[in-house]
Amino acid sequence: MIDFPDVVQLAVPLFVVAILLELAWITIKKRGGRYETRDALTSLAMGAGNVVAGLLLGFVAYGFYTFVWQFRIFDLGTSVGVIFLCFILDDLRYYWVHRFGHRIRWVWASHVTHHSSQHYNLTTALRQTWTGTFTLKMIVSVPLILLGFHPALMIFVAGLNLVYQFWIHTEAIDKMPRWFEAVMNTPSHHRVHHGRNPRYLDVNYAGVLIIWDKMFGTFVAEEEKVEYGLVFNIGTFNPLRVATHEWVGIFKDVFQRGITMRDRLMYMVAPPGWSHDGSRDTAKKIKADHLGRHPEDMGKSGF
Amino acid sequence: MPLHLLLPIVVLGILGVALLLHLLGKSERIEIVDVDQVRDLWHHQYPNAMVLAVEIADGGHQAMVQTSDGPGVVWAMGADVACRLVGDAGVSEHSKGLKIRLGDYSAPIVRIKLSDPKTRQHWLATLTGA
Repeated sequence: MIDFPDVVQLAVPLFVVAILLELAWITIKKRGGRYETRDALTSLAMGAGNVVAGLLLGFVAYGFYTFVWQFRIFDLGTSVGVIFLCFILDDLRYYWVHRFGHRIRWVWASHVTHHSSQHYNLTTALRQTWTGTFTLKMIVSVPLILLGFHPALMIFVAGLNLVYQFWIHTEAIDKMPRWFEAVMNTPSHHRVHHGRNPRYLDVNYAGVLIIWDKMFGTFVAEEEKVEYGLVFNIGTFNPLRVATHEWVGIFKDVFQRGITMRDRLMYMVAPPGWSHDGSRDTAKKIKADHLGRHPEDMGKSGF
Repeated sequence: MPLHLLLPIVVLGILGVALLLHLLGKSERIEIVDVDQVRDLWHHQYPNAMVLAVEIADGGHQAMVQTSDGPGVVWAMGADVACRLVGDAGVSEHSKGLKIRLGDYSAPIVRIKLSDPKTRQHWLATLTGA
């Protein structure tokens, strides 16, 4: 039995200390971000709920991985080199899962939780989904398991990826050294990802390495001030509503009267904002509308 | 990490951060002060809408907006705001003003503080189109 530590659980004390340090920095320096009590409390409750969901439903993904493992082509073992390679390839897996999370409403219904705060601080990093298991995103891990990366190793490196992403949820750090910004995901790159500005929609999906966005054409550098939150911000701090509001939205849309089976399917798998009658706006439409109002932005990064 | 260690760290961590934020004055809601501010806030949510009129509720935590798409409300969500068109929401009176049930799972209820009965009736009529 291969055993790796649960790095996310181990990092919990670090998360608490880092939040206190960021808060102290913002309070003393009077810059570098904003905190609001109910927003932070909701984010922290979502983080705690995510851990509970992992304890309750983690067996589903692990059971699926173990099933797939029977059909592996190789067994690559757990040497340091293999762990490193797995970490890099898993980061590529993360890029695509994350991209799907923004482009397929069924997956967005889970991931929207993480974007539902209008703040951007270290507590936002912990505003995590409770419903990730239902997205079936574990399917994207299949190629790596078949290639010979053990399920326990996959879960370990995915945890490392998540822990890395904690510190980039801050406005207290402006820019990292140029070489670091070129290769790694940073607070600046990830602030852009959390932006609701039209130019920042659906970009910078990276987990650890920003190179994936540069390779696949989804990278946008931070230029204009970032406005955080959703295109259509929610009006509740209730964690249960935060966790489930998009699922409820899908349910209402899918089971409305007078639409075709194709429409029902599209309400589940089309990009967020798709509607059968064109009454809502997708990111693509929002960008196009913005360019209609601001033609001077035509050709700029993000459009 | 064993559960008997993780649980107290999580619970005390959450409560400690929340208490600290409150003591630092981070629980104060945004104050809606003037028409231009409301107009800006509304356009952030509905960039294509034309704002025709704005009225601010007692205490400055909610505002009513009359737009080309119908009446709407802006209300404080902590340091930020949420905005919604009222549509066919249920609007009713309560002891301190109005209560709007938006029929929106992600923004279920907005309470508006209006002490003056005349103003309350005016808002009620505008929001319900009566």
